[in-house]
Amino acid sequence: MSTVDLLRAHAPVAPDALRERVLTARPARPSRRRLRPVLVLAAAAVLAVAAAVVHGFTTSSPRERSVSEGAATTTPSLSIAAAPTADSAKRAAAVPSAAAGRLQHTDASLTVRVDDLGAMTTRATQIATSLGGYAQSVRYRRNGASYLELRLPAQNIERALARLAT
Amino acid sequence: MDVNAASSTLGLPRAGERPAFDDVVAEQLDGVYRYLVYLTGDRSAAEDLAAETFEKAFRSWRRFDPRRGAARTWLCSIARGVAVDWFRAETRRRRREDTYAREHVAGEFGDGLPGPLEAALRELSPAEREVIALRILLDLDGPSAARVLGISTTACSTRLSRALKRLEEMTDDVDG
Repeated sequence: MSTVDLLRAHAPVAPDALRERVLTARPARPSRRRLRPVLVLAAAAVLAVAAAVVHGFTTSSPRERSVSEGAATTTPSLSIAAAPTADSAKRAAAVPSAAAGRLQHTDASLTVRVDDLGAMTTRATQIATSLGGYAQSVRYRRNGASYLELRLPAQNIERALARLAT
Repeated sequence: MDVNAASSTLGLPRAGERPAFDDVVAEQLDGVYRYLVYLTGDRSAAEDLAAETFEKAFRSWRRFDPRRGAARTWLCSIARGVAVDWFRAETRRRRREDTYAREHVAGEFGDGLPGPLEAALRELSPAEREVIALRILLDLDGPSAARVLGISTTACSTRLSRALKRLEEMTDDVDG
């Protein structure tokens, strides 16, 4: 028998005690693994709350601050591009119109609690788009919320709020 | 995943397949233990180091990627790191103990191994025994063994040839 064959034939075998030691004396799961459920819980909390911040950028709303024309030239006005519907015109009529040549900025906020944060975030964006607006920013926070900043034509703000709230 | 399917992936893992950790222990414990016995020349130390190796492996099991190499190679790399730490501590211990005497234990490198071969193995350096363990006892291929050792495949092959040659020369001297 060659040296190599002898070495292979008489190779040491792990004692049963070692096998048992390795299999039974397994260490506790690493701390990083333990954190996972906590993170999952945090994620569940995130799903429970969603905050939608709705911004309306308009030339007609008097409720909020006015912006000088100079500022208006640097900021595109969505209300110009959006054609108001009859319904929205009625709603807009409830709001005093702005002084001529003035660009008005209206803010509105809405906080909704949802089960599916991702789906609701997507839906909110779709609602804004369908009403002639767009999502300026979407931020997901670890505290369990997503913050959406939507830009909408002034006449569609109330409609947007109603649809976002349902 | 059953044990057979898992064990088939241990030598040459298929992409994406990940064996269960218990299956890896069952399949690889002997190999890791043999490697550590040859590397340290001390069965008692090898047991401790093997246990430590699998503990470390379990802790980093999520990072094991079967597509990048076999579990055996991965475990041997961990075992080598554990053994290197042990060698450092052992060297410090020996320096502290003036009365340190090298003990020869029969059957350290294998049960029933002929005495001359056992003695010859004892005369080899840990690096020479290490490459024998990886290539012959654990059947790692050249590139895998070289990766564990951190040397080139050519250097690994050369080291193995020299180690076997020395081993045979020593046993021939005894026989003659």
